[in-house]
Amino acid sequence: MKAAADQEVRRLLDRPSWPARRVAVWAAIVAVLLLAPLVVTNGYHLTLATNVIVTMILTFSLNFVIGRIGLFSLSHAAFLGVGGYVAAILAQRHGVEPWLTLPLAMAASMAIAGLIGVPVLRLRGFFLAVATLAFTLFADVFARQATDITGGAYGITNIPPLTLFGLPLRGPWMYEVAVLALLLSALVLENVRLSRLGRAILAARDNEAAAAAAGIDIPRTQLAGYVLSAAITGLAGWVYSFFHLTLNPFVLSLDITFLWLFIVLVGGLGSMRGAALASILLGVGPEMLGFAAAQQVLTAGVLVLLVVLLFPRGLGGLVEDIEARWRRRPATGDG
Amino acid sequence: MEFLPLVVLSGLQVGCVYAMMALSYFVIINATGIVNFAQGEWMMLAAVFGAAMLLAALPYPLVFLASILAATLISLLAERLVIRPLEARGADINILVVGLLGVLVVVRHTTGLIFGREEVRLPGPFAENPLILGETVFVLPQTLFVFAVTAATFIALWLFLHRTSFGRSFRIAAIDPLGAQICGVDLGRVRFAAFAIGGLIAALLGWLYGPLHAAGNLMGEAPGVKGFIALIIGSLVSPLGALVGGLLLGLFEVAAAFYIGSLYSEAIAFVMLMLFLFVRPQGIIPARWGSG
Amino acid sequence: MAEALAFLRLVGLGKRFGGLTALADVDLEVPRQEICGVIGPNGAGKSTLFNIVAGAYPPSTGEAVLDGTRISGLPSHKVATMGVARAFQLVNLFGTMSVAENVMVGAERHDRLKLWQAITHLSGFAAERRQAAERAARAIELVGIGHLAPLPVSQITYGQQRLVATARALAAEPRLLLLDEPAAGLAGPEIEALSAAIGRARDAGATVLLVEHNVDFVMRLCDHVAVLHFGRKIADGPPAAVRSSEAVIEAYIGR
Repeated sequence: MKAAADQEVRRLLDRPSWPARRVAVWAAIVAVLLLAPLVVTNGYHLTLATNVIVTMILTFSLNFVIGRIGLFSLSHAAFLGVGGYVAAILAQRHGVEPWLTLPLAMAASMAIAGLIGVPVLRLRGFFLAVATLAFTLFADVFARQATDITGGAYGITNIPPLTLFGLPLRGPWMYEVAVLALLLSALVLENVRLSRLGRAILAARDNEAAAAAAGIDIPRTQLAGYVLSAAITGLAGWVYSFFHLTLNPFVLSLDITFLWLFIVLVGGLGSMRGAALASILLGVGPEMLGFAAAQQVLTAGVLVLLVVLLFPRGLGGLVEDIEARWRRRPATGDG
Repeated sequence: MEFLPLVVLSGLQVGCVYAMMALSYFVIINATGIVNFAQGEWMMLAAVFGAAMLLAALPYPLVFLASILAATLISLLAERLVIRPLEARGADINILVVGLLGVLVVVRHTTGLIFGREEVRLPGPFAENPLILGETVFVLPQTLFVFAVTAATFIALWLFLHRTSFGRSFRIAAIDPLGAQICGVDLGRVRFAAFAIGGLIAALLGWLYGPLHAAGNLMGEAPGVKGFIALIIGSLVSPLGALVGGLLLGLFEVAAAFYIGSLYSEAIAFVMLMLFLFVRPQGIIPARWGSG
Repeated sequence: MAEALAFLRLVGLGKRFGGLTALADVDLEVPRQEICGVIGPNGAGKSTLFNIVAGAYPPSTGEAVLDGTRISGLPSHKVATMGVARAFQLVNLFGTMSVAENVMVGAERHDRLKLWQAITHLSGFAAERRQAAERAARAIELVGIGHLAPLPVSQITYGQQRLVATARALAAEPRLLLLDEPAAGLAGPEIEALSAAIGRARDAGATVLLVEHNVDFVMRLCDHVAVLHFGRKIADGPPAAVRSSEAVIEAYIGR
């Protein structure tokens, strides 16, 4: 009798991270995404979809930092910019093979994150938000003013595309690259969530004293998470550069920073599914309604106020509630 | 070297803008503990409403008062509709920040939708002829107006905090909310007053900064952030800190732009922020000075 | 023949908070695998003593030495890597996790980040997790909260939460187990389970130092008891001796 209860507990704690059902669901989603261009042939729609995919990579990463690590960092646009600009400059100006720029772009983002992370992550709340926001503003100004390096307000144009067996990857091909990048990001973040490091990160967010008492080196753990998220954001920047084949400081504008932040909140902090849903909603919705960029941010702002005031757990929370009712189990906020 | 007086004047002028913005943050932070990121937008609203009403050929004094009143009222609306419910629910500080950023975005872009996104000239209350003070030194009447209003505002606030009974309860509420409640201070009223005063100062700033820069829905962005940075530099708990931090930031920024290049003048704000956050997070002014 | 030093030694431990002396010149020796209880009236300095040994803050004077190495004044997570596990007076559970997950965090070894392992779930991931799950499951059984394992900690009672905190400390299979008022808020049968769990932990190799208000609990469970009063140690010995000590009776009843 007792042995059975022990077995239960062990099963609870030592569950396989990727049971067959989960792999099947993920594989199905990926397959649908990869095969979509066969059905959706309209170039405009594919461009839209690619933008949404890149946004999703970004918001997964941001959701990880704000929702899981618990750090209110607003410098994600700067990391995306670093990744994107490094890739663009190396490929366009120095003739580096585009594929090779990927590890370099990610390394650059990680390095910047490590550099500002060490001092900045000691801050909390408003101070962290302002410091990281100020960094993004600085990155924006830098991109606009250091014309020799970044091409100023016009940015880097004529970025050579990625090639595969001599074939330049544009349009639908870059969509596929984006989907693969999304898959990689999601896999990495999920795996980390289900690992000892992931639990340590959550523990540090929930209760610092107890986490330290359990042996967790909180600053180091949070910095590791932060740098990891910057790597993913750098990847998004790389995809962005080779998708649009032109990069300018637009991505560093505060409006975009706020848009991504709001998407994460509308999706529900800590929920990857929510971030995906919100990315689609706010990426596709305003476009469909013919809104310009500023109105997209406005829509996001209105939605975020509604979520914050009325549905704090966001879209992800709604999905969880529906799921829980379906299975009649309490929701533990696993997202 | 002969341009130094000009640089100093210009730096002080910008510095006053930052100092006023910092002061508006200060009033709210000290009464409620909240950093209201949307303060820059109230400044913007006053300037944009003002410009719009002037274009409709309404009389200047009326426009001046009406625009400031309108901006202040909207700031109070935001407090009522967004901040109060979140506070009542004991929401996590991060959620509060997001709520305020949401307000910022909604205000900024709704204004853009209604009034368009170009920048428009906003004439100051005085004639535009510069006053010549020396060979290379001249000063615009607007600059003097900025100095005068800034000084008046700081003095008025000081008088309010130290010479009126409500102002005293304000200070007590800032130092010890629980103790204040026991002494019969109505924290709700204090909070309301804080947002009203903070909103008013920011709205007034619209008429100081607007004529110097231009009125447009995006004008609140830079002063909004820099005002908070100025407060951190000076001291979060002292109006003197707001003044000193603002003036210093303004001076460094203008000097850097003039002598080194505009790229570095933006970096200045960021560098100073980092410096103070890590070397002296309590700011320049010791807490015992000024009044908190 | 050199006398072996006790496993845990508190030497001249003292703490001042501003003008207030919370603890003064406390010496205590706890041999290996002994359960030592620290009791005393309110304000005696028990929690201060606990917090210093637990690494929450450094002492003003003196030191705490574990198996020859000083542990007082070290950062909290370093103390943990030296084999010390703690359960504090305030229930410090991880609020968004379940009971099982809370205990799991206690069971896992966090001294190395192992980022690659976290990303790929390779490089010994499965083995590490299995071992940690074993430790966690054992601790959960020991404390008797198996039936609570899948529940979110926000949905259990205060007493149950305290048991979870104790289980989390036990799951680390520490050399030194520090418990601050582990019996507070517990009902009779829960206290029995707690006693048994602490005893089993000791049998498995842990040395235990606990601070408690519940004098009966301490007298029945502990091998040796120390009594604090106004920050000083006024008695130190086997339960029976301490119980009948005049100084102790005076301290508790007051004069």
